[in-house]
Amino acid sequence: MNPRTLLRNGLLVLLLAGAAMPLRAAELPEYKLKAAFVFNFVRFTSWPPERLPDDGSTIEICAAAETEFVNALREAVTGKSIGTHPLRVREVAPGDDTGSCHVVYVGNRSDAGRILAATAGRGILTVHNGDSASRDGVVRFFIDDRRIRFEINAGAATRESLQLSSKLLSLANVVSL
Amino acid sequence: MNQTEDRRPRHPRRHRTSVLSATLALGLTAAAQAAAAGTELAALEQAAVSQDLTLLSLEDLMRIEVTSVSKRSEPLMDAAAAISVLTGEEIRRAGARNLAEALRLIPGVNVAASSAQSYAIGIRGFNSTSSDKLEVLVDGRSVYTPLFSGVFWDALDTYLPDIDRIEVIRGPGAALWGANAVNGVINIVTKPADETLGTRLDAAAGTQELGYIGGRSGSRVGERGALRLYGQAREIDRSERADGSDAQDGMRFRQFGFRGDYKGERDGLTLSGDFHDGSIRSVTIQQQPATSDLLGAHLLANWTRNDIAGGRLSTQMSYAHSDRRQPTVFAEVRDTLDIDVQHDRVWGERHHLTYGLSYRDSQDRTGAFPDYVIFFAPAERRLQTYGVFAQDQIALAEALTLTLGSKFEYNDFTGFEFQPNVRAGWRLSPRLFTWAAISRAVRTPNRLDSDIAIYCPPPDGFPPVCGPGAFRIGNPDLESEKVHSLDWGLRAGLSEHMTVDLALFYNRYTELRSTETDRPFGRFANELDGHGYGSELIFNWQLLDTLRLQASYAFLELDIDASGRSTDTTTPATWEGSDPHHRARLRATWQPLPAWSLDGFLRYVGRLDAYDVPAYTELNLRAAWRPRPELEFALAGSDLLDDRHPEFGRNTATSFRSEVERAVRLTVGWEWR
Repeated sequence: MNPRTLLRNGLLVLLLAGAAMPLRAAELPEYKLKAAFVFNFVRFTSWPPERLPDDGSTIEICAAAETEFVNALREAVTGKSIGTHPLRVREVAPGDDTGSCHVVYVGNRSDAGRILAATAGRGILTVHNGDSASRDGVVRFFIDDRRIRFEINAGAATRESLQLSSKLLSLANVVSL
Repeated sequence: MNQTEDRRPRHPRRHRTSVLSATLALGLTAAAQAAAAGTELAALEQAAVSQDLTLLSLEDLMRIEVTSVSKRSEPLMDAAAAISVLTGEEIRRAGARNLAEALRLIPGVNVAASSAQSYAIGIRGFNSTSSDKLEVLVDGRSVYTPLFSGVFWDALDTYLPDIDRIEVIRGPGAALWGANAVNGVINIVTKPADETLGTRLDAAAGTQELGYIGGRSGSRVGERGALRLYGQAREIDRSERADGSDAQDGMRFRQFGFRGDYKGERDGLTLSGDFHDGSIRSVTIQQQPATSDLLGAHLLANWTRNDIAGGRLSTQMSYAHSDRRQPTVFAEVRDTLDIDVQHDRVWGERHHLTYGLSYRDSQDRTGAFPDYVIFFAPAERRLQTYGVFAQDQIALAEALTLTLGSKFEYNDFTGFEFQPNVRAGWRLSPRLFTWAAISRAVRTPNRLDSDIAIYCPPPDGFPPVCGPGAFRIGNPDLESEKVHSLDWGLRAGLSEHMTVDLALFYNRYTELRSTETDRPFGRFANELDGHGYGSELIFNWQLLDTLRLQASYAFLELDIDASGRSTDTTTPATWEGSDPHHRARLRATWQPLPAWSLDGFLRYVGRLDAYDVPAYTELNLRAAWRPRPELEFALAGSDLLDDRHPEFGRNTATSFRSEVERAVRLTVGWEWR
């Protein structure tokens, strides 16, 4: 290969590398991604009939979390429905009654355990961000290599009488506590 | 004095508006490109166009990286201080042109334009173009000048789309931030470089800011690093006086800078720097047109290591250079080195400890007579400050937190100073939080207090102001100004969509600086005492998913008295009348259609007795159209209710003040990856 060809090919490689850069990593803020995940969890979850008595029953997504997440969640689900069920977002604080919630999302906070415990046995899909699996939590987010992953506690899902679709289970790390 | 952002009570960014940002749209465009190979292209494209992430499948979502991983965040309402946060998104939505205009949006911050490019900015009183009772930080770097303990707001600038948030603490923050944080702390935080990947360009043209162009480019460096470069330039038109004459102001400014971040397993490293210069239209002492020049640069390095000695260690070093010359009036060249070390750790089950050391070395060279009429004696001076601080946040009960802290500082003027504070926060119910604080803070003397002098040139001086000669006003024996402060506040969620935040304060000031009249130009002493009290009330209301309102009201009363032996008859009235007693504002952000946003900012500012500035009500409006996710056009109008109005400064036979004119501005922003 003569020097000119070498130089030309070298430049071409550099140019291509440069052009490929912006295509490599797609990135978004964590809270916006998690809001979209929560929407998908609702899509792939079946609640017991008494929790959604008729076709028009609203699915209530409750969040005890950072305001930016709550706003992102509102924005993600506003005007949407799953099947015939409209969606609604409610911000909750520790101590609030979560009995009407279908989903309780608990942000990264020190009192997460207490909030999760209060939901147990009421047919609620709980989603949390703890450092390890919790007996009272159904879904747990974690981050691996800058990407969001989730873990499903099959034991908790059973106790809450929730049916999670096989698609959801196939994408999750499944544990049973 | 330089602190990292982590020393304050942590709290999340609040009320990020529910609009999907350009970043999101761009991220999706990139996501679409990246995932196009194997998945349903149509869905991805649709998601990108509609900016709706829920159109993506779980598999696609799992492929997208997160820009920042926040490990720790606490509920919004649990900070035991009067604190407000303005997000970068809110700054963009309001169409703020510069940092001062952004600060104006924050309840409790009093921003008054004093010329086309300069501002008087204060919190809880004592407002002045040389306000000396605030701590102002950019990414933990203290940016006030030891010349007069205030900020040259015309020289403090950054590319606004890079700002993550501005946090304002009203009331003394001295226990953590050190001397100068007497009435408040303004903390400007820029985004990490990995949140500003891609390229962004902004351009604007208008009647007040004639032209603006700015941009940034960010990219990854290796697996764990990111770097952004930014630059901007602006030209601000001259303003007018009440009689329509040229106010001899206006400015040209340009700036280049960078920020790089590395996020390792245990270590975080941030490097940032900037260079800026500008020229300002001004006048000489003989009232001849002139140009003032300013130039500045900084370099900052911050290294944070986790899991060391049971907590986190943060070390920050910064160096700043500035050069400012106003022909015949004054000149200052300054070099400042800051070093801060901070460790914070949890101790036992109940304690969260924060402690550290700080050191500042600031050297200046000032313009000497006969070239400059304002000069400093000595003309060159090196000032050093050493500090240590410690704070313990104690969980007394699940809902009750007590914070004890103090900063101990040694400075070259007054020696040892201590600034303790005690804070308590109590969560009464899930939606009700109350807090109280007792603090002592000081403002230590600066170059101006100690060394300023006036030169009146021979043969005549400036008749009838002064005869020929040099007159020292500064007093090297000046003591620190002191405040003892009581603060109380309440935050409540009135409903799911409405919150209220109330703060009340009482400040007792002692040994404030007076200007004794026993010399031709006066002489500084510590002969003023006084007190101030007031309140700030803020309502936030998320009326609809697409409509949010913020209403706020601030009341302030200052009562300053000269001691019996003082000859100062003017300063007390100046301080009592430098801030309005009443301020009220209403801010609305509305997204009527996905591609359209409308923002309004209505403000009432009471009269300033000291300067005969009448009360005024002004309105800013902005309409923005986003035809494509990566492109936004906006038309913004400011101060729409009057042709022009004064906001600050004297208007006398020898001193003419600039007025603020109604202005319109067209902007375009384009962001892509």
